Amino acid sequence: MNSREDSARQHAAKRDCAADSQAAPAQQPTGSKFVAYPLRREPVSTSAPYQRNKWNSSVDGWLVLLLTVICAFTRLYQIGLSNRVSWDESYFNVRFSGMYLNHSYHHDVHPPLAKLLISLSRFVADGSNRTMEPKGNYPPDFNYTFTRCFTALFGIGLAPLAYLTCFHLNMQRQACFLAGLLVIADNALCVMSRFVLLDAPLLFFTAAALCSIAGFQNTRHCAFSPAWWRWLLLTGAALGLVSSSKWVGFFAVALVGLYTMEELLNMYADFMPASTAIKHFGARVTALIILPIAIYMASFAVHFAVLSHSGPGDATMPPAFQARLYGSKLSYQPFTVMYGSLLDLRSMHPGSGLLHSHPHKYPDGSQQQQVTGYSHSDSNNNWVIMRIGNELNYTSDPLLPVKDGDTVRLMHKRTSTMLHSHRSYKAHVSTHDHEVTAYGKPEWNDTNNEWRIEIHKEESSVANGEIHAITTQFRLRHATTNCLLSAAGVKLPPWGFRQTEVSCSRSQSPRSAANLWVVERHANPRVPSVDMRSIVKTSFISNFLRLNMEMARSNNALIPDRDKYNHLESDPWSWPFLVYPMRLLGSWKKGDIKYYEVGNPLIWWSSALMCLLYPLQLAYYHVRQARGVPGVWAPGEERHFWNAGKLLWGGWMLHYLPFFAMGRVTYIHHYLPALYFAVLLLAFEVDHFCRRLALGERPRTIVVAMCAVCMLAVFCWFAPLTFGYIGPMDDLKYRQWLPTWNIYRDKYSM
Amino acid sequence: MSVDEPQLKRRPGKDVVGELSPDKQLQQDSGHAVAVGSSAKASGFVKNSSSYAFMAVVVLSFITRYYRIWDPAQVVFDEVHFGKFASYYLRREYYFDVHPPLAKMLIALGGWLIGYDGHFLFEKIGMDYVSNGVPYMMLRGWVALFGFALPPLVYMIMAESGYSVVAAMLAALLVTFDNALVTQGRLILLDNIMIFFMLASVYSYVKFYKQRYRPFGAQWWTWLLSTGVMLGCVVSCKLVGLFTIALVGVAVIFDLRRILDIRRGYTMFDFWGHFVARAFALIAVPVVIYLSLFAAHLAILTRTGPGDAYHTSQFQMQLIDNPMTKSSFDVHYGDQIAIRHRETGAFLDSNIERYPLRYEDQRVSSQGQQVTGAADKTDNSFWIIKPMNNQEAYAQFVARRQAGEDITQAEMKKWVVHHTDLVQLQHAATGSNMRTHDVASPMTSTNMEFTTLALNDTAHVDDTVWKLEIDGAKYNSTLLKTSSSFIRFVSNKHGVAMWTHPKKLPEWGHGHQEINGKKDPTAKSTLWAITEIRDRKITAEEVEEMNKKQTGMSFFEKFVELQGLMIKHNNALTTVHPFQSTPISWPLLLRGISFWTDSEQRKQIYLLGNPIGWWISDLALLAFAICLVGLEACDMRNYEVVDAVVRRHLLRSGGFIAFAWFIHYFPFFMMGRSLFLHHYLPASIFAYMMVAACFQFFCVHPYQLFALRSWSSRARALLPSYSASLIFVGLVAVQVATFVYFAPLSYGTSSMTPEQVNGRRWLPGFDLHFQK
Repeated sequence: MNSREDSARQHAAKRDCAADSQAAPAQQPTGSKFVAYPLRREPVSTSAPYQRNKWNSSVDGWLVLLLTVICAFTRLYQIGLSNRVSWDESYFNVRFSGMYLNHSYHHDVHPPLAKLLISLSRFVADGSNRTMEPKGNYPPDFNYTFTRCFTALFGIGLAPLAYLTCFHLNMQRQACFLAGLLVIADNALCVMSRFVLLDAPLLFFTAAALCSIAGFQNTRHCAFSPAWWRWLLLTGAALGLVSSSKWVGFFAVALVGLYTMEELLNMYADFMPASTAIKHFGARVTALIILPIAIYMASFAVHFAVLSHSGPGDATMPPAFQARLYGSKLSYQPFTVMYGSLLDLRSMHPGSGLLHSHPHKYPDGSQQQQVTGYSHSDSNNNWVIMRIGNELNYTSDPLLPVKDGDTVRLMHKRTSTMLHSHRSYKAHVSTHDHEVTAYGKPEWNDTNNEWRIEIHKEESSVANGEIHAITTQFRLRHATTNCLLSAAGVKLPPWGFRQTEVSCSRSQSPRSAANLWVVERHANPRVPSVDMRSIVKTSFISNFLRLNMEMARSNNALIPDRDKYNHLESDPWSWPFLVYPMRLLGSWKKGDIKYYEVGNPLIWWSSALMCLLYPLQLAYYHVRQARGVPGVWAPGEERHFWNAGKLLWGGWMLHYLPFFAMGRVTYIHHYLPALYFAVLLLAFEVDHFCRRLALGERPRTIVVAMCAVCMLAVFCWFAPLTFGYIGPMDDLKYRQWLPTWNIYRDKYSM
Repeated sequence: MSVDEPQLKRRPGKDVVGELSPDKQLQQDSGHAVAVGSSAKASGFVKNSSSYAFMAVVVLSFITRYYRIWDPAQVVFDEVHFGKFASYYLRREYYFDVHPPLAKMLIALGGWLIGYDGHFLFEKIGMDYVSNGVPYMMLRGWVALFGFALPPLVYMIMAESGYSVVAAMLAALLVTFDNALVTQGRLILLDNIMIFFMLASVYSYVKFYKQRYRPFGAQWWTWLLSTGVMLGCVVSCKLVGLFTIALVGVAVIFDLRRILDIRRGYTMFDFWGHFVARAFALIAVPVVIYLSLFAAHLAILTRTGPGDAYHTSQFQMQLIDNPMTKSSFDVHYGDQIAIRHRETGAFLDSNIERYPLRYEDQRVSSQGQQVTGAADKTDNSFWIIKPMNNQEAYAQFVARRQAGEDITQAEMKKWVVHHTDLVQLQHAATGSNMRTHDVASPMTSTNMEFTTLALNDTAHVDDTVWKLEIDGAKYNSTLLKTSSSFIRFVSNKHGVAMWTHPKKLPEWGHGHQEINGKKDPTAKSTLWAITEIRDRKITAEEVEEMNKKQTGMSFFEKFVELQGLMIKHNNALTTVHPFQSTPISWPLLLRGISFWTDSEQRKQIYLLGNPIGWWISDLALLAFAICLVGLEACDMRNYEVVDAVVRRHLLRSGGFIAFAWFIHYFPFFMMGRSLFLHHYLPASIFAYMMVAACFQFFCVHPYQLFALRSWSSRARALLPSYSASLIFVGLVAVQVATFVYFAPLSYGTSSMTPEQVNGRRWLPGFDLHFQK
């Protein structure tokens, strides 16, 4: 028997099956005897799912509709009650959306998609681009209810998505409905989608990605059919959307990536012919790698297109980018640098900032004046470029351009000292380099103050070996020691005010960005200013990469200060147990409308339990199989347990564990995506135990109904804090279920 | 079963290997499966070759480790620490170290056996041994015994694992001629002893595993218990031993999974028997050994020593002659006390100056009197402690005391300060009470400002009331004592605790530390101690009483405290050392460690592995990874690339070695403390074993003919082919040549010219001395 041909026939046969057609006959129980190690296993990568659910509009349709209606009620009820700018609404509903409407460039740690959508809703609601106070109340004529309703739409979508996901994971209908109800009945999911925050879109797209990968798995037996393509492309699209909303979305990408790797491995083990396997591989590369990247980049393209004006975030981007912004000071300045010009020099190394000096001395070494890199604009960044010798009068003599190969001196304008380096002292942090100081007077002839200009690249149409503002990248080589003026973004100790180090690098790597400089600001009253916008060119790709690097940098800079006690932050270990819920408003006095980010404890605790249980179950069933205990599974059920559970449990792990390794501040709502997976796992386990106990239709409905009633009761008990609570404080006493909660009294409040 | 035909073969089903019956497998494991005709013809030399090889390894190992062990007669690198600790054991003085005690106790045992009295304290690298009368040669010789044992142990492990004489010898010779292991192996350092126990555990486990078809027999129990004992020892040398425990643990899980398989015919009762036996031997036994070594440690070190200061006062007071007991007095109300922060050593201080109205960040202060932390004790550092209750009686008491009246002991007792008393602190120099209130502190805006309140301001008296909490009041008496009580001042109204941190205030604060109210009053950093009572006179009877009473601490209480401190200080070893390195650089040997230099004679000891050997072993690990993936991929499609027995041996034994390397290396990537090249030495031995495993896999065919049954058994054949012997000789020759070339750096016995030094600087990271 040639199994390769055999499997090729099988694969060929599978190709033309319709989307919702037959349950594959191969999956019908072939015998009740348990086989511990089947000698030749079924091809798992292309076989039909076990007990595949069939869509029945008159049942499923109505159930989805019902869930949507209940969910809409919980998400929208009293949504406009508080007119205060709550929690991070100050960023998303006020600051960033305002700047999107103003087109002013700003910098944030999150990708733009969700913020763009919020801005769009604000545009529809308000139309004006007025600036609002980021704290306190919304202006009376601002329709904040509309923008809140808009983000709440994403929250509403979560419940039907939960139903659909469970449906495609082939759970029983009761369990699917339970999953939807659990999502509705969680107070934390509810409260976080009632404000203008990024969490609701993030959760929605994460859920969409999970739903489509479940649907994709469910059509694996009819590869390349329209349904299969639809789910595959939907998965890719959802991945693109979720990662364009928040970087947490990359965990969903990781989940799908691991899933795909397992799938491809199974195809290999199933003797899939190479031609089919390559098609599978190519389809996945297109849909799951290229499409998400395209969406991610497109969201940035829109971001750049909308933010066409200068704004508070300019300084994070390279000068060429800034010069392209309307209203930027960089976009209108003299072009050719002449001797006697006043320059601000920026290092091409991201995060190194502008060449800076200030009247403070180095604590050791030469103890001369410090030279550092500083990222904000400041008059201490101004340097005058001078020729060697003092023969030139910069106000009357003819203008001389600075050329490639010239030896120049740079004078710090405020302190009238010269940029200086010397062989005798090492730099203070990068001890392989020479120290750079500001030392000496302009009239001294000190060769240690002389620097040779080496042009690296000219990015304008005028490439004539002269230095031009913004477009010319050049190196400054120290004349006597032959080292290169370098800023590699290394932070200085406190004596350097946490600015970055500037040193003279001996490493001689001329292409390194740390050694390249560019004239960011250029002032010379004798040279006419020109519009730089027509001269400067930037590429989208480089701007995109640079912005992402800057986002990563500012994300890593959100480091918690352990000495400051803060009742908002919480550590990841505490999340599944709901140890430290969070007040969404700082003001918690009598008469304030109080919102408290507490989950439904019953749901959180039981779902956490299920997350611990699932791997134990896997081990238990594995051992039972090894022991050959008969009747563990109905045939096919084993794969079902693995196929459905791995997505939910794996998603939980991937959305939870990485937070332990993160250095940045963490909040309890960072757990919400993981919670979504855990909640679905809870429904899955209920379904699983019903199956194991072989419950009939009616008992199963009763079990599910009892679960649902308990969860909903707890939801209602905490609902006042979710919908906004104004009543007397003493009534809250009974809602404090754990001593660590600050629902009623904050132990550490001021 | 022959491996001679290289073409791919399709196996009928994938489970041929897994389906072997136990009997058949047993035969294969012991090397009998293939009857080889040539075995009868083997010469006497071949038959005894394993013994000869073993002897050769022993001799070479001895020579490399003991060659001029008396040179240099000076303190080298960490001998500073470990020699010193050995001296403390011999003096029975308490010291503190982050490592568990076994290795240091063994060093001290050597010292004790040769009659060394511990008079020398190994204070600095380069101190002379001879003039200080230290029997260093005997000490080094004793520790080098462990280093000397490593190559023979490697030989034994490889031979027991079923490798050929040549492969086992290859691994042992590579280890013998490794410069880093030699350097480390002949000095008074911990790592040899730790690695010795590590290899002994692996050897015992291999022996135990080979007994798997004779379970619960005498041999089985012997080797199982031996594994447990050795694991206990390795983890009692260094906590890195936990990785060895993890290695054995994972191997045991695989083994138990094998027993669980129904086709092996074990009942669940059998399984639980196996489980309990392993749990006992591999968990309970190591724990008991670990604890009993700590018990011995604490039993030996009974006198006060340099380690006191790390511990709580209860612990310190258990030690003979400790200074804490001598300076521990009751504090009475009305005393003028100096209060010192435990972590930063700053004294609670105040002066007439006030906080500036506006800080640099535009926040506003209360403009109250400054309360700061000063580095030195001055007149401003004294505070009068006053009770909140019994104000009138207190006033009388103070008046009588000031009048110089004689107050009886019994009455004085009434005015001793207790745990949880409500007190006020009055600044002696300015006469105002310390206060905290709802104003953000100057530099930490989430914490509350500390200032003082004039005595006549009665509106805010609540702000000046402190609840005094003595740390660990349940062990000691609840009386407040100088030096020995660590206390917190928690604001009775606001619940914040007095706290300070090393950040200095700006100019207006005269470089004092900021003091403020921390909202988490339970933090360790809120502990203070009373260092002095002004004008306190000590009576003779008091001294006598001090010496008498010592509240006991049980062993477990002491152990928990010591263990907690060890972990805390181990994680806190983050100070930058000039020769520290990152784990990624270790296998590539990008940098070494300078151990010792002698500038007059231009000699140096520089810890560096055998560069060629390390790079070859990296290649071997890579080759194994590729083989593993390739063989698995072929297996998934039922291709039989290599013989089933060979494949199983490679995956099982090679996999064990590879995992051993992995588990002794990768956890370092997650460690925050400063790391050094010598942390890679345990892993480097496994990497060398991997070279031998790859040699066996690629060069020795047919596998079964050459496999040894045990390290002392008879061999049936020696060398498979000329090419294999050539590879063997080549590898060993290169290793020895490189070793000899770098030997001057490893032994530090010969002077080197700059050219010689620069010639050995193969990578820019080898920062050797005397390059010019």
